[in-house]
Amino acid sequence: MSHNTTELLLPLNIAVLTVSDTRTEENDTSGQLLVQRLKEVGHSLADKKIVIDDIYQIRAALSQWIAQANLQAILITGGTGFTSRDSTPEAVGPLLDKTVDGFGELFRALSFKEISTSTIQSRALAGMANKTMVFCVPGSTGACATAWDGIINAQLDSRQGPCNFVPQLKDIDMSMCKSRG
Amino acid sequence: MNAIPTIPAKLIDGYQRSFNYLRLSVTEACNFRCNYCLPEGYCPEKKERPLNLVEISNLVETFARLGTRKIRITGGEPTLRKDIAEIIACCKSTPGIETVAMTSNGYRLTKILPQLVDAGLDKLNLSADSLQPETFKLITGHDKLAEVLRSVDMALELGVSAVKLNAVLLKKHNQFELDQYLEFVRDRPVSLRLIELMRTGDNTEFYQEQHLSGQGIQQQLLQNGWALAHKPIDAGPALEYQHPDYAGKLGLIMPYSNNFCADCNRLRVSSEGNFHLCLFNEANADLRPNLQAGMTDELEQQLLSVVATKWSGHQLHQGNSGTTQHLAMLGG
Repeated sequence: MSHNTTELLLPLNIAVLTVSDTRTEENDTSGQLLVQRLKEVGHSLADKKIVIDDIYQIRAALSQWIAQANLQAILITGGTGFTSRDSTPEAVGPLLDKTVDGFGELFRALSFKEISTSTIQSRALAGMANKTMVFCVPGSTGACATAWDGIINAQLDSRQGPCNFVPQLKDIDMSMCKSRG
Repeated sequence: MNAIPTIPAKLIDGYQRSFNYLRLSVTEACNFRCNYCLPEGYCPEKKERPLNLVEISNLVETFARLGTRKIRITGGEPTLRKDIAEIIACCKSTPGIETVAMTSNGYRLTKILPQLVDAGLDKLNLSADSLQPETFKLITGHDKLAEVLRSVDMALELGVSAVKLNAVLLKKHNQFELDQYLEFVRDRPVSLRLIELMRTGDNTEFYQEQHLSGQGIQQQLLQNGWALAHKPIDAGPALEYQHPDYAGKLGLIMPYSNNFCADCNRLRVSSEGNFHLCLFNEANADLRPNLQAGMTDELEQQLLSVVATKWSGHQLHQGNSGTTQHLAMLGG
């Protein structure tokens, strides 16, 4: 095992943000799917919010989580399309220290197999801010499943070789697994 | 056994606290490797010589004569002792002892719990420091969460009168799990105990990384309709909260809060017969010679004179955890 991976999963604390003008906790199927998926793996839900398509509200929620100790990843669903209200990339972009360009590329490659050329309307993106991974995926529940199952799950799994994002996240101690198992 | 009148508590310290509750460790060994207690597992420096059944019987009888009414059997992990059912039966049959409780990691309980209840076990404490299986495994070194939770339900089915589930608050592991814990006690009459991490001789760095205060949780509970419950006289040090929509209760144990020690009601004996006045004490007294010789009158005098020297409070605020290297020594 290289030092980039661990034998046991290091559970992360992950927050979920749904960006939507219309969804409520009752019918937020995309947010709920992400919550369910991350818990199934063994991660903890650190917080969950719904905000409207407003760049400042998105930034307010996101900034708080980015600054918070022991919160390693943020999943945002919604607001990545091309309608006039869609503004998640504009809200998130300036807060990132580094972008993960491969995430959008790979997401659209996977999505192409499902929805063909329509995927070019997705502006899905990811990046890192204060050692916190931020993934922005479309509002459709199917797209959330594609992004989680195809990319995010593996890249937030400390066991994933040859590399994953976990060693680079805040308040993570890869040696925690030593003597475990 | 309970037919005889209650014996007045004779074990009283210089602060007029009387002691009716004994925590008796029956082995220091543990098969879990909890990262806040024995991260590398139990590695004794010398072979343990735990008290045998006769010595335990002498001890419990003497404590009972001095007014002890409740005994909690701790470890290490007490079920690692093959004679654990006999130990429970011995405590339960001692005149004056009303309640026999045990703290266990749950590793063997799905197999032996019915036998222990038959032997007289009244109350049971189990531990789940996370309700996420992966996190539980990371903390304890064992993929046993499902078994622990099954033991909880089994204890309820077997009619154990009080079932508690302990969780040590750990910033990196369970600070976002409060909702899950509350959900667990919604339909189960279980007392959940969230315990602040305590500093020991071995864990300074770990403590600094992981200590999480219970005060934030206290506020969340109060905001969400939980109310402080009345506390029975022989209860532990938890502040216990209840809510009309929940069958279970939630207790917070905050050793760093004000007046934590003011209503201390417990004394401790280690697996080798050392008498400890506090989990975090420098001094202790070796009871073994009197226990071995069956000199219960001498033992009684020894207990009375030592207990008078019990100090008013622990010195954790000064970073002093006494001789306690790790919590397995005295079972927390």
